[in-house]
Amino acid sequence: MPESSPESHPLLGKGKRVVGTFLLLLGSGIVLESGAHWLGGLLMLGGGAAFIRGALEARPRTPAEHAAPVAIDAHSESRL
Amino acid sequence: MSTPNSTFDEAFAILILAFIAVTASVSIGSHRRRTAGATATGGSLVLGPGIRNWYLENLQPFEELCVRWRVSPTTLTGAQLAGSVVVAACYARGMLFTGGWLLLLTGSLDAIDGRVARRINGSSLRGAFLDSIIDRYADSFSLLGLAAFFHDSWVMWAVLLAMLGGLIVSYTRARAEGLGADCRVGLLQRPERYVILGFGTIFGALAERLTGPIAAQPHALVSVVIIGLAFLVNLTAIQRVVHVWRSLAETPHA
Repeated sequence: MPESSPESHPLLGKGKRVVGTFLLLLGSGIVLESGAHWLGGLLMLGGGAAFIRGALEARPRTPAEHAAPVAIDAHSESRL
Repeated sequence: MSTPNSTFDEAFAILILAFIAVTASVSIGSHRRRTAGATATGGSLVLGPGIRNWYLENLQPFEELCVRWRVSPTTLTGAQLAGSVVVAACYARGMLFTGGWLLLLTGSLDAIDGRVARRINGSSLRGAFLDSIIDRYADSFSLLGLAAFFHDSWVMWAVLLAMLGGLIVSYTRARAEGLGADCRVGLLQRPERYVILGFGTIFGALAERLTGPIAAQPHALVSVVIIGLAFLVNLTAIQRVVHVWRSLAETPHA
């Protein structure tokens, strides 16, 4: 992975929170539904750590970011 | 599998539900505040433009990462196929919650592969063709997993009907476009199908842990979701057939 400045890293903040939430819930699903509690617990720990790091790294948005919502390209996804 | 409805399971399911509710409401609330006054476009009857916009915003960091690392769209498509096999295995083993989360992940890979292809100038006819084929396999694998899980119940037929409907929905558009007709209509397209099935199995599995079988019907909520999905997907197929039938009525045969 190339080194980059914290500001330009795409997985800062939001990305880590999204990954953290996903891993936390995936891990809890494994704990709940399978016998591999160690794997579920490990995923939950990793997810929780990523979520907390993402929450701590959240930076205030610039006025330009506030004013620019993500544009939806109506044909951008596979819509078959 | 652990025994359903133990005290641990119930408490854990409540914690998971609370976490999902708090995280989703904070994230959606923050997105709404940031985009207040902006006009969102796109979306559909089932997934409104606001929710769609919020979802794509959450995927944006990963899209950026794929572009930065120049991950090929074919790699993402392959990961989607591999993920759907794991989803099928989870569903077949009765891990509906885990399978639901992984299904949402494979749906997200499907949502970003085309966008990444355009941004790294990796779009090609071969890629689009491969993507369409893999999408059909991915759709079918997840539903086959559910069919295997419900193999001794009448719900299996609803699952198979949903799978058939999904294939017809896709085929109708492909055939219509081959004949020169536009077919961008329909209640349930792929993202909507992923969301309904993914969240349906996630919340169905949690409800099962909290309430146990409702009226002696195991997996009652998941069954209702599957029946609804089968109905709506086939309704979408009929919608498309009628739309294409009407639009081809004015087109002379070449």
